[in-house]
Amino acid sequence: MSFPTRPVWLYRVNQGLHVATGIASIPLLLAKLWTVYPRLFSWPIVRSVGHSLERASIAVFLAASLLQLFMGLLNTLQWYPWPFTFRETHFFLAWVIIGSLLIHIATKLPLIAQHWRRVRGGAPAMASTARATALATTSATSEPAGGWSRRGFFTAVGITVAAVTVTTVGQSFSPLQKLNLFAPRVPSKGPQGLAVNRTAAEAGVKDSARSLDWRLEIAGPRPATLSLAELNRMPQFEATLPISCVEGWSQSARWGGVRVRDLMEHVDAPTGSGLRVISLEQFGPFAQTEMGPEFAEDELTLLALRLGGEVLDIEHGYPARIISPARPGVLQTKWVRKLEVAS
Amino acid sequence: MKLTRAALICLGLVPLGIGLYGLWNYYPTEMLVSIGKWLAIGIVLHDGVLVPLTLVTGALIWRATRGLPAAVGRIIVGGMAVAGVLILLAAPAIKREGVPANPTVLTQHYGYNLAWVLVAIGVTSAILAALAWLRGRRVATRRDAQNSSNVARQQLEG
Repeated sequence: MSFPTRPVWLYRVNQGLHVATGIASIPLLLAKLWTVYPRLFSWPIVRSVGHSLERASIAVFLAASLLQLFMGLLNTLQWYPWPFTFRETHFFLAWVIIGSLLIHIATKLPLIAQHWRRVRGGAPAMASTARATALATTSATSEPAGGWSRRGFFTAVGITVAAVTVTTVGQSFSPLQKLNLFAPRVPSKGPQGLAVNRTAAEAGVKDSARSLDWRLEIAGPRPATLSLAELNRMPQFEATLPISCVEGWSQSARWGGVRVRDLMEHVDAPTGSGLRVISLEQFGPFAQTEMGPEFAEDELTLLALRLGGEVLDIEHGYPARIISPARPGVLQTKWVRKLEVAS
Repeated sequence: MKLTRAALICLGLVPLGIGLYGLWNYYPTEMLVSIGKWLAIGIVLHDGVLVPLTLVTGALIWRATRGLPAAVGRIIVGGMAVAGVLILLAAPAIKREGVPANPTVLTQHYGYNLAWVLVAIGVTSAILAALAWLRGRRVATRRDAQNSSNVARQQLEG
């Protein structure tokens, strides 16, 4: 499978939107559930087979949505108290939510159709009053005390969504950086003005990355071993590319180093080859990553040695790290030890 | 309609099946039990604690603002809803501040930020509520004036 490499901020937007919509969904979900809460106590508990299925699908939808948003929010704080893995659970729960929501819409379809038909029918004001009365009589408690109008309720929900969005989205949308009050990251806070997802201490590379014996191994048709000095003597290039974390924060930075495609040429890699990137990291699921040919051959993909004109900080992957366009941060492997040409 | 509904249900069963099968296929039983437990915890906390709390708070505010223009109560409740959701959002960060080994995670003073935002919401709600109250009073006065002039006219005509 080939991934697009342009625009360079593709993954930045993708993941920024993902986390921002997740946070915006918190008040949306709470508001939706709040309006239908009295139905929880409707009697009889189950009227028919269809009704029991409907209630079961709502229970699935509700439980999955709550856990999905809660685990997503906590994961962005790097707080993960669950025994099951985040990635798989979040992924499969998303499917469960989509399915149960479709089923829920199907069971409510007559009501939805009835509502819109009435509005189109020409007397919207009367229709909505009639509907409100009908709702009030079927479940008297569903009208909040004091009576919110439909418009008032939506205004309140809209303000709440705006409030949570504006106070967090600055972690990925730079123009709103100043309003970032509750996001777990301020992407410019960190060594060399850039946050870090995994520290050198967490990765267990504090000694190995600083070792004078460090060499870059390249496995290919004509294997090579390069010292840091040798890498610095190769043609150097600069690229302005964002680090975009799966947790939602992102920031653009100016990287300098050797083009990965020059390194592949150095070992006579055949055109169209991919790359396996191996880190000094001793543990972690991303100690070894795969890079498709579309990224390996891209002129912007670097084995970076510098950040903002300075030698890379150890937290950013000293002595050498991968930086490529439109890729998740976890695949921008730090503390690179070895590159393996893979066909 | 029946056909559309049936089609939509079938369409929904596909992703639902993918998700449930995916979980079942990926995890051993004890992990599935754990996921099930957390799904239940979410429902219990939401339905049993969070919503009753908001309903009680809402009812108390409506009671306290009885006799005032309806808009005053609505503004106060709306302000509290915004504040409540922001508290929910900031709570994990406040609880977790200083814990991660990575010094670039949770770099802000979340409690301090939350306090300021809550003050701002409180002040804004108070100003808006005061304006709504004043407007309500003006309307009431005008109505009273109108009523009394109507009464006077009726008396004249009578």
